[in-house]
Amino acid sequence: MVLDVGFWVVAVVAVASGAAVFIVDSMARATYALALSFIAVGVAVLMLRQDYVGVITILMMVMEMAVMAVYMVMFMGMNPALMPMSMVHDNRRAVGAAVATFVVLGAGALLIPWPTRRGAPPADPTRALGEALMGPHMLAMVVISPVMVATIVAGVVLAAHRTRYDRFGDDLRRRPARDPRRGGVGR
Amino acid sequence: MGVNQLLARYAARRAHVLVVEVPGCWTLRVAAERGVTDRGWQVTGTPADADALLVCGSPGADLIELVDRVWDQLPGPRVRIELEDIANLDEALESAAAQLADIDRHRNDALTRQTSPDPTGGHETDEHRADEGMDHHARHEGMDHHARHEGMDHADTSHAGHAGHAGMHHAGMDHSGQEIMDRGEHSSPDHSAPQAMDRSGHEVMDRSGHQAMSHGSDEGMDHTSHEGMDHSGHGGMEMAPHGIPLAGRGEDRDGLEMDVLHLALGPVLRYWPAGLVLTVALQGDLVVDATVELLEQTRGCDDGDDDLSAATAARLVDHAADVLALSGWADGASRAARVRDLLLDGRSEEAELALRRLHRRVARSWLLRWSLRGAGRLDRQVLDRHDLPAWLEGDAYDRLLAILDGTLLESLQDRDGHGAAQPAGAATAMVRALPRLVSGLDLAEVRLLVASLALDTAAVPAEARHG
Amino acid sequence: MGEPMVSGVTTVAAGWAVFAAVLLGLLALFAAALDGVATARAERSVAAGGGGRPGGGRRGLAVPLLEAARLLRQCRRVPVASDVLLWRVGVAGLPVLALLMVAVVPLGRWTLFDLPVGVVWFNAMDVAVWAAVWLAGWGPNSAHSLVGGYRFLAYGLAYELPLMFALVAPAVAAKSLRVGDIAAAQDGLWFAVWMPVAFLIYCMGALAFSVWGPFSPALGADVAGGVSAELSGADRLLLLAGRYALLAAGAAFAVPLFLGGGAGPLLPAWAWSLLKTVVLLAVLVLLRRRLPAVRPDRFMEVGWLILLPAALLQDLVIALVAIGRQ
Repeated sequence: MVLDVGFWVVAVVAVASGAAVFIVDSMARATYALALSFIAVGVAVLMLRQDYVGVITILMMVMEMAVMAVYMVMFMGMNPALMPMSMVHDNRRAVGAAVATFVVLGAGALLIPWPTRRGAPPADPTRALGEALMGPHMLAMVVISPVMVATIVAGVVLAAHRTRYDRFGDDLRRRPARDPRRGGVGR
Repeated sequence: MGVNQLLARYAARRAHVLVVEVPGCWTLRVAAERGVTDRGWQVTGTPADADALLVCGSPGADLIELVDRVWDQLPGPRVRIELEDIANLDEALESAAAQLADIDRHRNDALTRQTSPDPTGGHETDEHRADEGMDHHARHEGMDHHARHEGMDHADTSHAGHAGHAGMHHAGMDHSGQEIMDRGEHSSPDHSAPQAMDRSGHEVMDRSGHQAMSHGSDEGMDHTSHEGMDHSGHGGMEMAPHGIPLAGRGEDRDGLEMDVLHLALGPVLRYWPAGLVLTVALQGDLVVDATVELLEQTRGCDDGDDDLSAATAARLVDHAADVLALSGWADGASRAARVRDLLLDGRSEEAELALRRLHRRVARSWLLRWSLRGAGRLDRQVLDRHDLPAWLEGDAYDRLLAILDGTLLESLQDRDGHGAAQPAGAATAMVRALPRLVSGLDLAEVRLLVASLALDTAAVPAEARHG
Repeated sequence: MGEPMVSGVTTVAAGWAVFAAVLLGLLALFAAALDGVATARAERSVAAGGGGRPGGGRRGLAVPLLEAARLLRQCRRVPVASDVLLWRVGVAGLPVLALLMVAVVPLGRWTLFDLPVGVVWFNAMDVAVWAAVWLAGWGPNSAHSLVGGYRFLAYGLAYELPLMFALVAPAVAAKSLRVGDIAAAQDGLWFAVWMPVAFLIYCMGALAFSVWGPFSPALGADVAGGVSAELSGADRLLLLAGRYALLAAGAAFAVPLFLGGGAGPLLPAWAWSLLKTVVLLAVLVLLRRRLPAVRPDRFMEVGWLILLPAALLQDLVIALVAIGRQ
């Protein structure tokens, strides 16, 4: 009973703070409204006894939003603490897309004949998840991880203003590298 | 009532004091800080944390104005002490303690104090102690550690001119906004001009109109979001919220376009030379441009009747204490302060011993060396170009060691004539060179650099102060 | 959650959360008093021949209480154009997060929240400190506060990954993410002994997420107090108390993870847990005055080029040992 009420509370919080992202008038508030929404989702997942997935959702999303707030502020350029600004643009089409998505998903959820449960949930869902990931789904993980790392590295390399020739000279022999700021390990 | 009095009595045993040093009143300031710590009180570095404002010396007109504004920022209960003579120190602190414990006094202060502008009109003020009558304690503008933006004093006119241009909803300036602007104007005497505002105003409006604000964009006004805006309590989408215009922009070191903020460092700043005001243009925490100013020196209070060489040595060690405090090494800073106090008390053998021990510890601390290495590095060419003394060569760590190992002191002792830690020429050259030296450094490095110069602003002659 | 427990840890009723909060508060008070004494000792007057004034030590001991009285009496100040909501959320977040951290830490045989993934929970809470500190720096709309907030994020990017991998090591060795299981797995040999690298990196992480000692430039003197520059009254009290509480929570969590939990001779398990926590907390507190700040721009490379590989190597060794034991 308590669990049911709690579940509904976090569900409402998740949706409401998700909506708040578009209603508030500052970058920081929008970002952290989104973070709150993710936290509520994480707690909901936790209540479904998917402990690991729930907690890791909170962990990753809070970290991500903390970093994202920095990028939002950086890229928007104007001082968003002072400047109230609308968090929506191209409103009409966005609302249309949102309503259409909601109708499709809602209709799907209501109309699909859901299968009944076969078997019982594992005693330790975390262990089951780990064994699934490291067993039958190992191939997918092995493929996805390097692709993700490569994407990150490639993104940074493409975005970086300076190349290794700027740092190490044309023959790549200059040591230490010429950096605007020296690092902490004597480079 | 009983609880109140009890709180007041305990609070008065642990007051935090913001100490302002009038240029030329170093001895007085050090004595005051010693008096404060000896009482079990604490010296603090920010008005928000201070219960007492202690002004050492008689400030000139420009400093008085700044001190008044800092006084406005003390949250209260607050006490202001003007100290002009060391002899009155104990008495002044004693009366400050008595005043701090006096509840009625602060109730009256809170009721009558000039409240700072409250431009939002919100009542997010003070859920604090109604029994002390402070529910109208107001919002303050954080003066010297507050972001100030380019062209503050021109916000009104330039925006009125451009408001229609980008289709912005312009709420106009209310009275309180105007007040902030006036205050801002005073606090940065020579900051950038209307052109800067013009440029940033245009840029921001044009870009944002298409990027994020539904107001100025081609789709036309969106009424739902517009209403949302108006309820925001900020008076809508004015270009200068709270009378503070948006930041201007500039290319940063990495080729990105970044906001430029203007921030005045000093004169009410701990571990900072007295009377020095360095107005820096910041991108992130990186200084891209700076202007320097020295406040008027009024009648000095360090008459120099005490032992000059000891006072000179004590001053140098005090600079070392500043560097150590800024580097975050609390124990090192306390040790340096003890050496300083021993020197001032004329206990030179003990001081000598303690200084040597401190020097050894600093020289051996690899973590300190690692942390300060490269901070505020000055090489030979830079020193020559700006006519700076040779001992400044190296980084903050090298200079810290030079201050502590005594060679610098010996070189100064040959020519000490007026008890200043520096010959006038060197001090003047340092102040003049500062804007060039700090450009390209981050805030932490700027603070380490300035502290490690061992700059004695009182040594700068009056005729060199504005030029 | 009334599951059958494997680890010998009993979950107590939720009402005990009040007791946990009081205990955490007392530990924070102890930390603050210890720091007060250390500071009073270091700043003692030279006038009294180096011995300090009579009562100097006692004065340091009372510092946290006097400070609390002072800050409770002080008004709250709100700078112009500040985002008060986010500011307050950030400041109040610190003590709340500390409390959420200790919720999964067993005190001897009892725990409030016997989560099967307690280690990950703790990690999630310490990541949330990023958000709290940044918000506290962002809120007051002040350049110095903002610099402080960003400095903390820079630290976060450097210390968090090594800390995560340091937390992995005990979990791998105990083959469980449940804090009670990890404590129970250290019969005879503390994990701190045979995974010293992970333990040291964990302690560094605890200092870092408490914005303490070498990792305090977010509150640095060079930016007029940084995140705390505009805080006054009850807000400042919350931030300071939150820092001590985080430090206490960090020390408390190290006990089941690395220091054998409640195991020890003669004394009951809860007493051992508490004793080990107090000792580690005292060490962390006393480090503050002794070490200079580690500048964030310097620490970034250390985090990624030294600490992260070191933590990964430690994990590899632990994993090999764990497999070999099977």
